[in-house]
Amino acid sequence: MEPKEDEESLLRSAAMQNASAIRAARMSAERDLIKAKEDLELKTRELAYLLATMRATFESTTDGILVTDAAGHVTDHNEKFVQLWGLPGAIVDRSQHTSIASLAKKRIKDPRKFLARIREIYESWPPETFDLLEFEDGSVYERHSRIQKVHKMPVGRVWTVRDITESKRAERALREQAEWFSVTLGSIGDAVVTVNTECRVTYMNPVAETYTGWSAAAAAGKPLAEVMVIVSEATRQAAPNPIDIALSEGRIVELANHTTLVSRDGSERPIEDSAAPIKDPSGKTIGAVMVFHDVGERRTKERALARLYEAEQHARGAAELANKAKDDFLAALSHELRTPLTPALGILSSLSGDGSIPEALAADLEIVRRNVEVEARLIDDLLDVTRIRSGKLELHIERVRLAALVDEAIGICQVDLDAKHLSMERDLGAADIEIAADRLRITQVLWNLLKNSIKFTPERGTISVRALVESHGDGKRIILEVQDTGMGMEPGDVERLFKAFEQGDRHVTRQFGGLGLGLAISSGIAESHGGSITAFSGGRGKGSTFTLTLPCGDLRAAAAPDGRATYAPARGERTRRLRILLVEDHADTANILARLLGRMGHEVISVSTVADALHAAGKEAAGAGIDMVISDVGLPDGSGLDLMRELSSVHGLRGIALSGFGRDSDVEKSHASGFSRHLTKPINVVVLRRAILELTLDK
Amino acid sequence: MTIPTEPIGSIPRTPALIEALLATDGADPKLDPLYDEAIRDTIERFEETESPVITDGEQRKYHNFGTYCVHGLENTSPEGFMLPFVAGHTRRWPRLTAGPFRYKRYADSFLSAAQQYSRMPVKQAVISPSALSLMYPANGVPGYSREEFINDLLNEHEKEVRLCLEKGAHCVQVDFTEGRLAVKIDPTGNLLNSFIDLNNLALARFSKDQRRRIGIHTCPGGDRDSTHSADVDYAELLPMLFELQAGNFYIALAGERDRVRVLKIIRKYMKPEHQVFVGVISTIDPRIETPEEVRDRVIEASKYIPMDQLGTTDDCGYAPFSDDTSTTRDTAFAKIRSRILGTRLAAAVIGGK
Repeated sequence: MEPKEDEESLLRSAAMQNASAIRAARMSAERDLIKAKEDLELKTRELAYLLATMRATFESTTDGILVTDAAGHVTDHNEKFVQLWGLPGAIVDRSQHTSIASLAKKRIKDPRKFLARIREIYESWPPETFDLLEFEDGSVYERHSRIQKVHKMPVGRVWTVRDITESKRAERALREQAEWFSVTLGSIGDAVVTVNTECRVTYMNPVAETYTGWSAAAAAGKPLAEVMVIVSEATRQAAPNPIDIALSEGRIVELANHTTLVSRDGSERPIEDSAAPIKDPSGKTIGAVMVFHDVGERRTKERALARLYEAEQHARGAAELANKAKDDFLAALSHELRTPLTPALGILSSLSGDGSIPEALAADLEIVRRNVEVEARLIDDLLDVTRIRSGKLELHIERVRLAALVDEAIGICQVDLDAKHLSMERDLGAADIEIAADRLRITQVLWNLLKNSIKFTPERGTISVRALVESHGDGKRIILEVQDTGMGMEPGDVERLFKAFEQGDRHVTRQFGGLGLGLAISSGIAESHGGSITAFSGGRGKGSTFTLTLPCGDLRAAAAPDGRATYAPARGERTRRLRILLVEDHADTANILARLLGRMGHEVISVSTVADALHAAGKEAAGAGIDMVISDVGLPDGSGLDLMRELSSVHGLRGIALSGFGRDSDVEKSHASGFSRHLTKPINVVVLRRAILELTLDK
Repeated sequence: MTIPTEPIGSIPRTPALIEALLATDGADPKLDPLYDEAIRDTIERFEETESPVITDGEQRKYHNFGTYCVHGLENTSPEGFMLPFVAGHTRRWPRLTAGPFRYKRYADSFLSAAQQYSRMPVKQAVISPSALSLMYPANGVPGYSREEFINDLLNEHEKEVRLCLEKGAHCVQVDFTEGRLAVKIDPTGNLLNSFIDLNNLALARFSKDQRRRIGIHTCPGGDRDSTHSADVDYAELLPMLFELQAGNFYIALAGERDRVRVLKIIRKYMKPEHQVFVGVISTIDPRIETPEEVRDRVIEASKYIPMDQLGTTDDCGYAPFSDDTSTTRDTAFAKIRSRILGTRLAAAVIGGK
């Protein structure tokens, strides 16, 4: 039976409409498919990248990797694997593991065991294996294997091989080093203890065992504080252990002294200890080490040394005291020696110009006067030698013209030159410059040189003084020669010329007098200025040449001339009549000074104490007044320095100090108290007159 | 060597069941014991045939191979389109009256019942989405678009197939008897193409491995020893049929007038990944083929189909409609037995070469 037309039409209509809907569904599905395809491509790319990354990781690992299936067939491997085994990659690819092992076995120390182990692993199929493979060439490989699972299902086995030869060597080296350290630390004389970060003992060397009374085994793991009991030597209280600081602060703690280690049996020994942190390569503190040693013997020696030192210091103090006493004695001696000379010299000076004295007596008086002066000079020389030898020669550097100083020296010696009819040649043109020097001392040198030449030059001889300036280093120096036509000397005598008390020939000393200290003093003064004095002689009868070399010095640092008194005589100078307050407790000196001053035309008010002087000054101030004070420094009821300070401040007086003490410090004290001049006893009349004149002119 | 051989599915119901079905609706729970007995008996007799793959004979498919899944749905009516058979009778398809479209039952329930009685591989036949698509009426369903219906249809079909696969069906056979009918209705081929598209949309939801366990059965329709589209040339169907993304094809061949011509068409369009089961038993022929006949048909087919892709089957089910009594169970099993034996003979002959 055929279907009715409308039935068939209806079916066709429904089917075709369905077809349209199906087409739409198909297109939708296709779109989904395209999307899915795109997603898949993306996933594929991601997967490819992931696989490439995994492959790269697989290849970049330092381990050799072999992957096999359960039957031992190679499914994968990396390049490192073939490198480690030295096999061609093509052979490893798709081979049986046992075949590869057979090729590699010749390198293995025990190939039979090597192959048997691989077979055993495949047969017993353990989850994991670990073996060390030793090679004939000494290499050592570490081999792991583990079952490979995919979706939790075992699919094969992954074998990793690592060359640990170097780490084994390093391990061995480390072990040897540890042994070396152990032996070394066991051999050294110091005690060594190490602790971990919890400050528990990890190591002790035999010395530490002895000191602490603990064996290393018994101490291991114990708190350090229990093993090492340290107390302060002084307080007997527990002393901090430096290892605590090393651990907590991570720094080296230097030797700490004066601690005592109390050993396990209670015995004690003084120790010196230090500690340092032990750090790993990253700098992290992993423990600390303490080194200490017994300082008992040393401490005993130190105490002995301390006693010696104390004794030495005591002796030194005593010596210094003695030295000071000696200096003071010498100063006092000088003062006491000079003081009596002052009136004598004063009297002789005053008589020298007295025309009423018979000529024969006058000649005798002149002899006495010269000998008194020599006596005074000898005292001064002795003091100078003492100063130079002790390094206590004090210089007052100022700007001076050397030519002027030479002229002053010549002036001082003029009487002697004239007496021997000696010719004096002088060529100082080039040296007419300023230098930085102590004026008095350089004048003393020049005078000594001239006096020396005068002394040893026969009558009618010639003395020449020449000077030149030359560059020296950064500055200049002046070279002054004093040449005579005297008796000369042997070369061997030259060396002794400048040594105190070693004048060339005792015969000479006896013949010409003096202690022969002048050249030694002069040489010392020259050296104090940074210069020198040398001597030259062609021999006996061929004259001598003395050369004084002085650096010109730093003129900027030198003081301006202070006008201190020199030895230069003041001939022909006259001063006005002064009212002079003379303060002198030495009766003879006071009398002769009063007479001398009177002869100079001055009016003298003479007193012997500070009190009288102040009284007189007060009294005279109300009357005719006082023009000048001439005072001894050492007075019975006080110091002349205090007196001058009072007179200067109250009455505005100026003064001249008279003192047996001629040290520089003495001169400075005089100036500081208000004295304008400081004259050293015995007082030379000429010098005194000059000082009075200068004060008058200054005023 | 062995040549795979499988039945299509249906076996005439037992007389007791047929009698009961005439008296009541097939979904009546009172029929369950009869269904169970019929299944047990069917499987027992299947095993006796030594068939390597069996079915439950579709004893519980009511009322037929196609509507079993929607029978009893409240949103259907029996006034769907009509299937005319050459013998003169018709079968009417149900019509959807409201959305959404859902199955009343899934074929995996039949599979589970069969698996209780046998450890043999059991295949399960399901109706194609394209056949059920004809339930949507030409004038539409108010509030439920055709597109929504197609989508629901695909989901339901997917669910049914997936359930069967998951329960261990040896194979899930999609009955696509409307293929030739589609050509008959629309000679332009557009309708067939849309059926192919629809079924491919369903197949695309499965993996390649799953699709290897899914087959497509095509035949000219068989009911009461008659067909509805045997007059449609296979040449118009097979090229498109092999576009379906299934792994297995069950093609009625024994009843064809010119089998060689059909075999040549199959050879031309089948793909290397296809397993082609050719019909070696004509289910509408009441005569029982001898094993030798079957052997010869297999050998004939082997000349056109590579041996590793060749399998044998029956042209169609023996009773796609539950009330079909044109063939007895004995005849059906005898014919199956002949197929088994004939296929073995052919394998021996071909293997002996």
